[in-house]
Amino acid sequence: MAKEKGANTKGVERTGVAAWQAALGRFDKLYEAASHEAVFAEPVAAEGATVIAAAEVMMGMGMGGGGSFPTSEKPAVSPEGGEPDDVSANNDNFGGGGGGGAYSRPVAIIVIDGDGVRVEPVVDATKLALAGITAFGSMIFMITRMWSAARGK
Amino acid sequence: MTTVEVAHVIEGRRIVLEARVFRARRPMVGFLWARPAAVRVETPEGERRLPIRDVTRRWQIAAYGFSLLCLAAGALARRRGQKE
Repeated sequence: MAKEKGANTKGVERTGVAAWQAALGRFDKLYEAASHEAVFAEPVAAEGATVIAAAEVMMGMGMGGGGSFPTSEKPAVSPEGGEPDDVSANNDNFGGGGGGGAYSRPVAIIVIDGDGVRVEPVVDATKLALAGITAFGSMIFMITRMWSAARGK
Repeated sequence: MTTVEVAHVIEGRRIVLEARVFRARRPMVGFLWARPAAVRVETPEGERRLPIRDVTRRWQIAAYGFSLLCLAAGALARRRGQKE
């Protein structure tokens, strides 16, 4: 019986580990794809100039999982000697989850033409506007506080 | 933080694109940050390095830094006012 239990455990572990390895493989592929090759785009020739876009890339990922392995003494193998039809029938659980995010933002455009090579920065007006509004709000806060402190005297 | 390079030959010039890459990799966790650093132009006459400046990031840091200073000054003014 102990031998059967051991075989059952191995069957479940194999299923879980295979799924886990597949997930890790995808994770690695995605991780490699977002390397330096994602920073610079392929050169594009247009109107007598070649343009290369440069971007900042950020990526983070995490995953985890766990499970409980067989507790029942149900036979793990089918009468024909193959793999069990339904591993979950033995109350064996294996679960995992993962999450991640990727972010890319254009930083500059490299222009190569007859005159030479130049780097044109890309300015994100929305981000600058938000930062400007924050700075303006903080300035108003500071002036108000200073004003009220001066009046308190 | 490592520097990686990609080279192209365009219009008779060798263009080397430099990127800075930071990688943190553990079996279940991974983080990657890559940003363009510079463009190196190699010609028979010589070599020139053009740094890639992140204008948006610089202005953001300046604006948020200024905001923090304003908040600190405002808080200080209030504290002084309360003491007096």
